[in-house]
Amino acid sequence: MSIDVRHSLTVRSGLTILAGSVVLTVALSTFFYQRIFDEQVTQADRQLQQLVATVESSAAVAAYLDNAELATDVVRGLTKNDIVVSAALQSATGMRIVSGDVGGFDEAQLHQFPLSAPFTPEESIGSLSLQPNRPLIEQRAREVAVVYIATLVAHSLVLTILTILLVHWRLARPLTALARDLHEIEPGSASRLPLPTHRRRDEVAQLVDDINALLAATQGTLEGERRLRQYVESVERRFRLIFDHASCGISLVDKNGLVLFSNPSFNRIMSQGRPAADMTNFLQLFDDPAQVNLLLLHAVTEDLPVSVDLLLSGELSGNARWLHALFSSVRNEDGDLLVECILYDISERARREREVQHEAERDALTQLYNRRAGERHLRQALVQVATDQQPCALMMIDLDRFKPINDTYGHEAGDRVLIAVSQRLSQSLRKQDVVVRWGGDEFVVLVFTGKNAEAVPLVADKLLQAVSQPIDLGGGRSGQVGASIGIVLIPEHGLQLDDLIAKADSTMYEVKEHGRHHFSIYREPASPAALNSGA
Amino acid sequence: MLRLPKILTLLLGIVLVCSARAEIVVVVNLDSSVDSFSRRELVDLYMGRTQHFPDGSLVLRLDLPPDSQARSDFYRGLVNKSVAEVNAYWAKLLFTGRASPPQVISNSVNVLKAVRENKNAIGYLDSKDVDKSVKVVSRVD
Repeated sequence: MSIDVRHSLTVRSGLTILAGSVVLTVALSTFFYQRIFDEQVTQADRQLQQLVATVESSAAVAAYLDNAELATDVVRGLTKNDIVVSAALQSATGMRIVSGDVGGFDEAQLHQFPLSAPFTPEESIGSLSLQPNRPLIEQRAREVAVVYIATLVAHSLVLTILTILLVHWRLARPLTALARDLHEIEPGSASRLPLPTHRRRDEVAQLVDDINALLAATQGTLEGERRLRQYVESVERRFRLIFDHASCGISLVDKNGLVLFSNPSFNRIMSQGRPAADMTNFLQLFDDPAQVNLLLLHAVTEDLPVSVDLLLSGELSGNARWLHALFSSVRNEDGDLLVECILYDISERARREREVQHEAERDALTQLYNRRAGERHLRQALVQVATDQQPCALMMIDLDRFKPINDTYGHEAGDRVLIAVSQRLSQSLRKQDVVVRWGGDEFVVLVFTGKNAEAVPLVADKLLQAVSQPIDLGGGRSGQVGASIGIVLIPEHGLQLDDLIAKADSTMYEVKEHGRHHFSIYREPASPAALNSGA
Repeated sequence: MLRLPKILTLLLGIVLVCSARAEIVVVVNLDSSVDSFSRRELVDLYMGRTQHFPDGSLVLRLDLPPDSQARSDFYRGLVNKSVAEVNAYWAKLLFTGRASPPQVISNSVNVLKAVRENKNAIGYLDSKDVDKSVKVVSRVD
């Protein structure tokens, strides 16, 4: 800290005091010099009058008697006073006695004192003339005045110096030291101002106490703030840790679908397998942007969290990636409604679920639906048929001559037959058709035939054809099986699965009894079953 | 029991007697050319300012003894001074050698005698002591 010396407290107050002192001294000196000078001159005049009064009676007598000796005595006595240059005694009768510097008589400065007769005061008998020593009187007056002024100046000087010193020692010096010490103290530090060395409780000491109290308060406040900041930082670090390292993707999306904020997992999940994807456009990241948009709006308007599984866009169906998404509305500091999206990549889980489902639904040997899953699928298909009014046919297929192969060549050969037949059935039908291994060597297929009634026999023939092809039984052997097929038409023969199965089953048995490797379409019991011969 | 008017009359009488100053007469020789003196002429003569009569003859001034009542009354009446003051006046002038006080005569009888015998003499005395052998030229009271 540097203080310009010219602006220091001591110098400024000192200069002010000095200036005041000088002005006052000059004014007083001017006033008193003239006053004292005049007073001294007046006093000299008074002295002259007193001198005259002292010798007046003798002078009067001398003039009365024209006594030159007495007159000489009087005027000599007068001129012995240094303030009298010359004196003259003049009587009315003509006597004139002069003493002192006779040549220096100056009528203008002459002091005339009339003399009256000693015994008849009313009678004027002469006069006494005095020539005062004006230069001497004035010089003395000046000297007295100068001594007085000198005393005044010395007095003022001493007082001024004393005041300046006092201001410096008692005020400026402690304050300067205080300012210097305070300047060196770092705010918030434990440093304090030292107490002034003199122990008296003056204002400076009080100031030091108060400043120290302030410093203590500042230190406390700053420490409290630092601790709070550290705490907030540690909390923020922890939350950031959670945010950054969460396995789920977290993002904030505005209601227009713009990604405002996201964590690394979000970017990782979204960019997996498609590095060029635009991470800011939330809607376009999904397979069905319109659906996601609706969900976002729903979350915002209903203020309820939305939980949904979504398919990502740009994926081939074989490698479809699924996300489980939680949308909930939040409000930012500005009051804008935003959507907080928490996304889990559930592709792996979905795949495993599909595998588990597959294992549960499929027959381990033939990979066709097992009977339980098949029944469920058939029922679902029937519901669909009922709503869509789409005709279809249910076929109960039982293999002919399967048992002899199984008995002759063993189970392994039998399994080969079942696998081969299953493959041929699946390949002969369309994808939407349902193929079920009903049990043993029994199969049920649901074929969506459309409005064309001619299609049913064609399909049945096609299936018979496919089944009857030679089958490699292993070990260089080959076998051949046939099939008996009972067919019910839907919805013509009903919509209840059990009923349809029973009808198809009985129709299939009729085929078996009438020579095998044929198909037959169910007929109502009122009329005899019609037999159609196949190829 | 005293009668008040009588006491007052007695007291008044005492006061009058005490305060009463005898009338002083100034006398000269019957042959003197002077018939009367003004007060001022008398003062100038007795206080030493004038040494001569108007006709030019030197004056012989006569005084009574310092302790006499007539001297005291004379100077009191003439210049309103006590005898001691007049003595001091003369003492002041003595050193100059130029002035001298009047000659002292032992009593009024001798004053009368001296005036009778000296043509230029002048003296004073109580008016009750004066006779026709001298000329009264002034009265002081």
